[in-house]
Amino acid sequence: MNFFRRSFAAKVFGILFLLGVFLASGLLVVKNVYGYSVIDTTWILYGLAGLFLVVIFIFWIQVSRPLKAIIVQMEALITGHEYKKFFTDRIDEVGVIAHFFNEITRNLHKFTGKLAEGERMANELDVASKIQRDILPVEAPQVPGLIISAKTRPAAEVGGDSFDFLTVKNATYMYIGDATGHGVPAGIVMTIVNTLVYAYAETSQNLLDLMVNVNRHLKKRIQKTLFMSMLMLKWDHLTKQMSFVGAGHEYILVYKAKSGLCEAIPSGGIALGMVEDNSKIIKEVVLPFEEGDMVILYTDGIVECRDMSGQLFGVERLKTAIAKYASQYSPELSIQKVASDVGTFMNGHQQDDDMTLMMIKHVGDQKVEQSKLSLATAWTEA
Amino acid sequence: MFESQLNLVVDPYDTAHSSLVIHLQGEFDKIGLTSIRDKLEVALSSFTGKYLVFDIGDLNFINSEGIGYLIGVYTHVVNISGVFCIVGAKAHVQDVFETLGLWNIIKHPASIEACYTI
Repeated sequence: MNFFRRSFAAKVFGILFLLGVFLASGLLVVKNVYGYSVIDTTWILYGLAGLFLVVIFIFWIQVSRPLKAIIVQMEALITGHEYKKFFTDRIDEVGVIAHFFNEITRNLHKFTGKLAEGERMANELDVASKIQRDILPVEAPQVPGLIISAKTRPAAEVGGDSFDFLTVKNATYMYIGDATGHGVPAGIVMTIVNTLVYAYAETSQNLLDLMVNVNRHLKKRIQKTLFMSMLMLKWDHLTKQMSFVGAGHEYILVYKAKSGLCEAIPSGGIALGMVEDNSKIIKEVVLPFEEGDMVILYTDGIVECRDMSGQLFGVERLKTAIAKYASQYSPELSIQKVASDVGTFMNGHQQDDDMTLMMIKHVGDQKVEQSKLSLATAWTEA
Repeated sequence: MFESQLNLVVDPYDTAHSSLVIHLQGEFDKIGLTSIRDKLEVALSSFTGKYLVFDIGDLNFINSEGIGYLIGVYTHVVNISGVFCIVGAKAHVQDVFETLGLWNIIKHPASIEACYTI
């Protein structure tokens, strides 16, 4: 019986067979009971016509009508209109088509849901990326005695590199930071740090106090696997003195105009968020910084970028590049030249981490007007 | 294309010293961490001893992802009153730990045996 349920053709042949048997039996009964044969062309034609009508009717009921209903729903699906599923226990050809349609629409629904979820997450990532972009300064400030240029290029939608400038009374604070990894968690850490720096810059007694406060509040708010290295500079407008506090960041590079050399000074300290109290570990240091000198801050995305063979760019290459360009070009052009060297070194290798480079030149009492373009913080290559 | 790789070898638990020694080989970055995370977490979840030692003598590279993970482990071990040690770091890996200021909080004796005197 299962065979007849599975095949529409079997059903039709079965019905035709039964009708044939019924007709033949009728003819035999007429011949045996009434003693005459009805094998007449007219009767045969009536019989065939009747069978044909029966087949047409069965075909309409069993095939044409359900198929038409399926096609209507398929057209609705294709044209983006509302469609319905089929509820049937048929397992013949028509049933298979109906179940196939149901399965397709179910998977399509699941896929559409995932697509919508992906789209929603992408939109949220866009928002996070925009928030981060809005936090980072779009241009460097103009500070008496300094020419400042800073450029950044995030690796993912949301980066962990951070930098900012803020002037409080007669001092300008400049910092560069790098949160663990990149992506959303790193972006959140840098956002918290940025907020804390602004919150404590006005009330902290000194640079050291500021970094201790930022660390204490950051540590309470982030997971134990997250941290942020940072270098905070303070430029005193009156004394023309540059000092810094390091929190486990990369070297500070200082280009000395007199010697034409680039020195690497360890930043010291411990990254923000690693310990609850960093006051005994970090310290404020006065930088040897004279007119014509340049201070260079960078994140590890630059020195840890790789070429196609996996080799690192490294601090030595960065120092060499800075020594080469700092004597000839402004901070902005020097950054562009270094960015170009980094791009050439990577030679198409994927950028794995955010890259940020900041150059600050001591210009003494010179008044230097900088264009909007030169102050912009978007990463460009020469 | 360059692909980083990290391997992990966990020594049997040393009951004499209540210690577990984990050897890391290769490059400890995001990709490396993903490849060893499950095995490492199985080893760490059952650790209730005193000394947890990471031998990184064969580690060629570590970035902030790897450091972040080690800091997480360090915090866990300190919270259970254990001693977290790192031994055998190569010069350039030492530089990374030095730069981030990790030697201010993490013990880094000259050898595994030296850990047990802390």
